[in-house]
Amino acid sequence: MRSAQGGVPVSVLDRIIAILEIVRESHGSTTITQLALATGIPKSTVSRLVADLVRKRYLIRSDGGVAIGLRLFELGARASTPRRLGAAALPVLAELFKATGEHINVAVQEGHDMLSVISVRGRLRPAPSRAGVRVPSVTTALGKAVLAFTADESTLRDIMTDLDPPARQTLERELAGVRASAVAVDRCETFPGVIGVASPILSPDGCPVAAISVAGPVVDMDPGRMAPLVRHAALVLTHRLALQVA
Amino acid sequence: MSRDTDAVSVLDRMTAIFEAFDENDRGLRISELAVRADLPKSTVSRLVSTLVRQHYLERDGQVIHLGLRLFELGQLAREPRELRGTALPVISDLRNTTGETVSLAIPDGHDMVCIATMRGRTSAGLTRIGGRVPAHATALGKTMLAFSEEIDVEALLSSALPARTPQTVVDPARLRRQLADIRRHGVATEVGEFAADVSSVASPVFSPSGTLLAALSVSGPSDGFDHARSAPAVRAAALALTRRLGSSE
Repeated sequence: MRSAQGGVPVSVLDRIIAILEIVRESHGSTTITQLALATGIPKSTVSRLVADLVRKRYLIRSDGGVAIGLRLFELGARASTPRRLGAAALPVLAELFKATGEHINVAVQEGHDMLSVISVRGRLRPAPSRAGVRVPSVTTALGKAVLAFTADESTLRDIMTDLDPPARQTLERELAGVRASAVAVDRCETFPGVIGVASPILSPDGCPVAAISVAGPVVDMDPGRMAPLVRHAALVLTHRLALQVA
Repeated sequence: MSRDTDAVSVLDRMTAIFEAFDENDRGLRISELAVRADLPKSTVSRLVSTLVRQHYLERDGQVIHLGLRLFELGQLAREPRELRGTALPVISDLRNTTGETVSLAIPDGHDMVCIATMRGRTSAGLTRIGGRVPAHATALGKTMLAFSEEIDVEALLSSALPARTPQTVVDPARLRRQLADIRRHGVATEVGEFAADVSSVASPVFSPSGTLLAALSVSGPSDGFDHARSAPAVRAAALALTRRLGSSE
């Protein structure tokens, strides 16, 4: 947050957002000291802002630190995109789960990550991701399915720039393949032993709004069998979302 | 204006904007948002542009929605997540046994906040995840009032309680008797008090240290709702969940 803002946040709103951002990056709980260190805001100011956030139920005090409070849980449950996608995806997820029995995610792009908005647990233990969790775009099937069709040139460029030249060429070739087949594969690039197969969900004007993936153990999940199932699920979901808008 | 009051007022304004979005997912224009949040339009515009940039809000043309960052932060709330994870098999068993809608809610102030649901034979009695229901008019809430050590039940009972339906019990003496019954039987019952023609039963879930953690309920259309079967089923399920929580410590 500090680097993203180009310095220590000054306005009260920026400081509140910076504090919440660090709590998020710390997976939901942290300490006042850590918040002051990570945001660059003086500790006394952090203490005061945290007290206000606790009073307003955005945060709660826990084990010598702070954690996410119920107001954020309530507001988060009302967020538009997960609700809209969730409503459209439910029957599609049920069908895909019946056909595969594997771990399923619907995720949207957030910066250089894919944020899962709805997931179904399959065979994998522990489950590699769940709703509310981010996975990196560059290695996951979900991320590659979206990057192949994205109109967001600057994010794509940033992600490519972070790679060394051979890795960049490999990814460029892979994305060209994804554009042709509408199916992306992650062969244990993100989680050891886990293979993922994903397909993009497009808006009526062809922009990727999300992706849907199936993940299972590399030892006995056949990506060739999964590809048409995931592709079909993505097409049905694309169609259902278009109807929702209309 | 001192720094503290400044911080509080920024937080108040941000909260007023977030809370202007109600449960039905309808986007709001800046002018509607200003009216609902009771803030000047220029203030709302300024706050909204920062909140959109940080993904706390989303802009879709002229219309604003609650954004992905709130979803992401909300999913990190530990208590709902852990409790829901432990409760899911119990909830699904209870739904299958009764065929009715099952909800799990945790106390927050004088309300109950729903953290997990499973739809039964109809959507009657279905509360959205993250939705709030009042204590006095629901089986979930009466369960909390009967067992909570944290809230001042007498103060709540003697306040002017709103009647949600003509059936809502608002008389303090009657409510007090109901709470005593709930403590004796471990089950709260409500018929049409929160929504007309919807009935529910609920039972408390306790932490390993014995404090009230949540309440589990079964709800459905009053027509065809089988109290005699649902009451012992919800009681058994709540006990099973309390045991699961104890053994996972």
